[in-house]
Amino acid sequence: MELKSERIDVADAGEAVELFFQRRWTDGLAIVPPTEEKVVEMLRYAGRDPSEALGEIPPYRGMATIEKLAINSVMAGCLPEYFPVVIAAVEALLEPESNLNGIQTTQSSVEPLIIVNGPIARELGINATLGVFGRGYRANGTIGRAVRLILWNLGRNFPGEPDRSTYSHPGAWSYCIAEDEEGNPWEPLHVERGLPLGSSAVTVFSCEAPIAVSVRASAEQCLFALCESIAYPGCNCYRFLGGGTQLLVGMTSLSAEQLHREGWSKQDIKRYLWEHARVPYWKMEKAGVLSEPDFAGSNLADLLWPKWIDRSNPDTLVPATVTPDDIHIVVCGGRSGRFVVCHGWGYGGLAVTREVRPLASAP
Amino acid sequence: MKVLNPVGETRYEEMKDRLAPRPHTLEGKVIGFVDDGAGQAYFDRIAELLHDICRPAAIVKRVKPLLSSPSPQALLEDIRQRCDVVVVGTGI
Repeated sequence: MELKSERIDVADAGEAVELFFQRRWTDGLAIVPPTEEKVVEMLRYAGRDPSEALGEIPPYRGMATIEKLAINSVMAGCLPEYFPVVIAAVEALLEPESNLNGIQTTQSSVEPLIIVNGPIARELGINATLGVFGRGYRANGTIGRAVRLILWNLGRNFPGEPDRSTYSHPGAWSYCIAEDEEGNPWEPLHVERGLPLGSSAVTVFSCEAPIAVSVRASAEQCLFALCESIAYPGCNCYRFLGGGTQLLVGMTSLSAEQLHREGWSKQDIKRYLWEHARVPYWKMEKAGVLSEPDFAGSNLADLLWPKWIDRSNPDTLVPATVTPDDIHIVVCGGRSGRFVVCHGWGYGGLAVTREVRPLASAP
Repeated sequence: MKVLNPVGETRYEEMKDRLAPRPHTLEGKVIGFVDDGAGQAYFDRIAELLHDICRPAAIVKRVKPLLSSPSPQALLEDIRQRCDVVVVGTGI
């Protein structure tokens, strides 16, 4: 197998790590030195041609070859078995709906979340339950970081130059979860999004950091509590409504079971959240969140909002998304009475789902 | 031991700091703008100032379909053909 990347001599692993820091080839954390042996092992497992190019990663437009993806996955500490998941995530991020150029450079604070579904999530041990957004699992940590190192080394979106993200968030190091399909009383996310039951898939969705909502009460009370946590005037979902806003709601298997038992389908929940998680138009005007000095008098509602939102009435209630289907529901997080909300960006970064190709069909 | 370079090859490395040739004067030229769609008044004011100060033959404006995405190639090609000078991006 012939690799095209430059080879650099180093005395040992420690020197390799320091070299990668010096050359800005890592994100601020140490890496596993990507030796040819380890990179070839990863490529052999996936059975993909190293020179195959998936596309260009903005803003630097580094070519995302399978070889470069493998090098960065080794650096992140991935096992070869994780590599097909990393490839599928990058393929999803390169779809136009992901608007990766925007995600890599926006002033907003969104980062791509990777959600893994299907048998591969269990086979690889990707955590879907307690501490799902946190630490402790090699698969979550290293798959998420591999994607981030790919965005770093091929997109070169260093903070401020030219990534303008004001706050970013801790998911910029690694942001990868699985859905708790065993605890999900409804169809899993990837099946809802068109893939066959039993398939494995990755969904990428660019979003802000998770907001926890603690409530264990009736279904109506839980949904009311969620709505109160979703809707606030400064939230980009409301400001950029119409530009491409989506929302992710996570719930524990306990909460999901309860809603299911009380007769709620996923569609019912989405519609309820869409109808009730709303911000009165007057609040957005009072808070001044629809314009900025940089916009030179332009108003986001003029530019982006659907015309059916009646702005002649200050009491008009503004939804977070244009349709209920722009709300994604994922079951994860163990078994307590809790929910989580991840707001999307507003100018894309929409959810994109890609099948993780079974190895048998690889060339 | 040998390690591999993780940085992607790019076709644009040498182009990123290169500036388009500058005309000696804007007088009598057709000046184009690619408006990102976020600040209409901002672009209108720039056009007004250029009119007053530089006396161009005309000013042509095109609005990007999505603020945060690069301009479609067709839009760039269209405005390039119509203008002598085009402002394709502004930073805040």
